[in-house]
Amino acid sequence: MLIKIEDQQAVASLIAYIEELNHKPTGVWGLLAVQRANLETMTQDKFIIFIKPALEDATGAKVFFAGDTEIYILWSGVQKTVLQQLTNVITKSLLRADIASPAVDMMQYYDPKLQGNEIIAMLRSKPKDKPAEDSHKAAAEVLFMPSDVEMQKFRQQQQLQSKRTMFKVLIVEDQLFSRQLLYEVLRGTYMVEASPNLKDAWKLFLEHAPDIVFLDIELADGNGHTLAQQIKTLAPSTYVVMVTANHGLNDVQQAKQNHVDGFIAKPFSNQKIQTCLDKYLSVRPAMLAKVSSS
Amino acid sequence: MNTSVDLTNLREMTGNDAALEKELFNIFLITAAESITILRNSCEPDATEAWRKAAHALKGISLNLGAEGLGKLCEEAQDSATAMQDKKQAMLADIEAEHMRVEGFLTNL
Repeated sequence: MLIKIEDQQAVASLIAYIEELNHKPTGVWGLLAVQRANLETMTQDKFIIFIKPALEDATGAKVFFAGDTEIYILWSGVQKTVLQQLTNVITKSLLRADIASPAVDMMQYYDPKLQGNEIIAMLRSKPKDKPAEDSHKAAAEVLFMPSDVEMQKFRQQQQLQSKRTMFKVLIVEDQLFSRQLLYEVLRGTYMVEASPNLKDAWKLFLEHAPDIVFLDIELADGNGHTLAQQIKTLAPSTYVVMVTANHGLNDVQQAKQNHVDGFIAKPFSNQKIQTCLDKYLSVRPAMLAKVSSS
Repeated sequence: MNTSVDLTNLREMTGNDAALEKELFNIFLITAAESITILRNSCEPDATEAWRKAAHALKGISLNLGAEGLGKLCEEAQDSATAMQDKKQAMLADIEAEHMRVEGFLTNL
């Protein structure tokens, strides 16, 4: 049975577990420490799904997510086979695509029975884990911090907004099927850019200063509401339409708080999209006038 | 008659472009298979977020395709991410059966 232990208690739980193993040595154990910096950004659940097959030969396993810096995989049963399988899956499937050669200390194997005290000393020397929520918030702040060059380019594009004869549309949707469908419907009539995630969407937004943004709420690297808030803060004249397959009241309330302009529930339809675009045309002069006067 | 998929809305959006439809169907089949694999690997109680996200993803593309039945089953699964393993497995079986009907419909067009 694979058990997941997370948040700021992860290192403390791991130390307690190793201390227990040292006092009551039963069976064979292995511990692999993995640095998160070289891995693709992914949820804990996705990480578990990937490593699960590699742990098939283990008789038991626990995964400790220590903040945003390390993941510790502790397992019982055969050491070498499991270690080899874990190393294979991590290096072949979970490494960040932009890393040509991973850091040599990216993974460190320990034998808890032979190196128990050494591991505990190593774990105790680590800075206290940051609560996950804080580190996510910090990451979001960095994500939405435009450089001076990006801001300059954005302002140039924004000044051209009122003169555009063909509107620019940005689609932010993580599902290729839905993204492609919306893209095909809009291209030809509009200049369309599309992104599957928040990070690239923010870059495209700054680069093109689109008039309209169709923004999915659940994205792989975060929540669409966060981007909506950033867009409406930086450029209130951007017409933001939230797109979702959920019908939660929380999403509607969050969208209202962010002053977004529309809401489309999936499935898409020509009529729903056209209604949004017609509404944008009717409010566009007032939106642009408001911005230029401020 | 197979009523798993109603393509009326999708065809209105694509303007009856057969090549585009074919491309979209391929994308749907690949993505749906990926989501089902994640669901299959997330039946254990500790994999709630992976289960919920996979169900949500499959729901969205199913609704946009016109596979309302599959969309509804996925919505139920999404809302039951914290359910016990046996309930998740039963929901998964329903999703797999409906997915097969949708797949059969799309590949026989």
